[in-house]
Amino acid sequence: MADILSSRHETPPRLAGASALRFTLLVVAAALVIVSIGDVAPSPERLLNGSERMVKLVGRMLPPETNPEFLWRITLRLIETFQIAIAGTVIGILVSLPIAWMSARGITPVAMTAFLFKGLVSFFRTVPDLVWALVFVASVGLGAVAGTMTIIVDTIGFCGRFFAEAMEDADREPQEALTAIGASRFSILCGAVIPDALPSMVNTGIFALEKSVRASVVLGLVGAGGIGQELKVAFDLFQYRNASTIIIAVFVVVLAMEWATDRLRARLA
Amino acid sequence: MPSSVTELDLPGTASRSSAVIESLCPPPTRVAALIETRDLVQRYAGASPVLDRIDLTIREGDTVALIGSNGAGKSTLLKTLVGLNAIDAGSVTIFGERFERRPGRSHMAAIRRQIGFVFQHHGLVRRQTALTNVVQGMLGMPGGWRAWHHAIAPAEWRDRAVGALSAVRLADKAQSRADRLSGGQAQRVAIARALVRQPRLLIADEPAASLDPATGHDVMRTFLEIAESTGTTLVFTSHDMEHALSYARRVIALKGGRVFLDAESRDLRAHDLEPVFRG
Repeated sequence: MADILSSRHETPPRLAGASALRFTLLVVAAALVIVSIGDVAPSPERLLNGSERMVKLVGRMLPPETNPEFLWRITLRLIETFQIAIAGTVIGILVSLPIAWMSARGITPVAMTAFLFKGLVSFFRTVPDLVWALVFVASVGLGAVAGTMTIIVDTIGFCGRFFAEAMEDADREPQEALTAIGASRFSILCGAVIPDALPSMVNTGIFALEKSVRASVVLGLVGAGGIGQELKVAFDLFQYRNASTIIIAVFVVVLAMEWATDRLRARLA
Repeated sequence: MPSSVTELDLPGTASRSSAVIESLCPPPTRVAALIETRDLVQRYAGASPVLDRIDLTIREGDTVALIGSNGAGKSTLLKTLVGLNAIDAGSVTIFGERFERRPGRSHMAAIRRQIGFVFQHHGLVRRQTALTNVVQGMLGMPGGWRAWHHAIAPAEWRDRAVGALSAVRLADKAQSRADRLSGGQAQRVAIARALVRQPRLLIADEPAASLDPATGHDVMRTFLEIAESTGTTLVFTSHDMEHALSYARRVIALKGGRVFLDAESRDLRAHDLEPVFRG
């Protein structure tokens, strides 16, 4: 037995030898991390001073404001925030579907232009939502419409990519079988690709909704409607008790949203 | 008639081989040709031809087994017949319509409407019911968009789909999802999907290759029963000589992209066909 196990070949080293280039890259990466931490990370003194001010701020935030008139106003703003998220996500998902079809490799009916649609989706995704909000506030004015348009663009950037990937990953065999009997590309999309990609697409849609609820909370900071606008006013006017009520309300809404979407995902799994 | 088909594989017997093939070829009949290929050549970029000057005639109502080893060109030939692959040279005449390269759009649609195609792996949409999968056999027909799902299909198509499921003994599984069916059941649903369009030509690419022997025979029996009872022309590929000899009246062997043997299956039962699969 021992003879069988005694190898005539050399045992490979535990670690592969690093080339000069790889070693240089590692040193540069380590230097970048150290310099960045030194430049922008909080120093211990700064943390100490900041935490003192933080304790004072929290003190001024307590107890949260419970004036019924204020609470009613916050409730209306929360509803508006939720409406921005829902409307923006649903419209964004609907617009994402044809864009994803046009950009999905092997599925698109026009292969030549697939990269254009992929590029458009990447552009929507890489520009941050607050920047889109500034653009829409400047173009359509302050308020919820600018927020909804921001969420639409943000959702297209997110869903457009993941829908296309789900379509590309759909089982190819039914597609080939339906092509062989003369089904059109659109029929194959509706009859075979989407049913197969549906669980992944529904998951993506739910994540998009969660993401939109969180995003729509902060859009108000730049004037694009929703609860964020109230939060900005509260901080600008040093109404910290109002601010704490808003933060708690946002926390409850986002938590409820995540709970609901987790349940939905579990049911769909 | 040769004493053994092994003779075909002997070196330097080209003229003798063609004589043997000629002697094995079924005699011409008055039944119309459904498929004719003339000097058909098909190659993948830069490689040697997968199909090399194939001349074939398949008549209406025939049951034909295409046999051969991996890479012999069986699946390529089937896909070429329905225009899934472009032809490099030669021509195909199918249902009386002749095409070179690839059939035109409307021509291709007209050809595919008359064909039912069953693949080795059933190719069902896993998350759809058996009924929806069978109704989807009507995609490609006028108004085919209504075959996306059985819920929006015309009543006539739904009835036909249930009839097709009955023909493959799976009417009770109409509402079962495809991914909950066994391999044999899924393949029978795929046959029902091919049947629902009442095709003139039923093509099956190694329909039993991924099934256990008993299920494989069951699926092949289903094919034969349907082909015989409806008069549908059946062309299937197989690695299994037993399937070829038991479920086809005619056996065509491809080797190196060429027709190596074309004979009535009853004439081949006594022969050693191993040379067909030998490299």
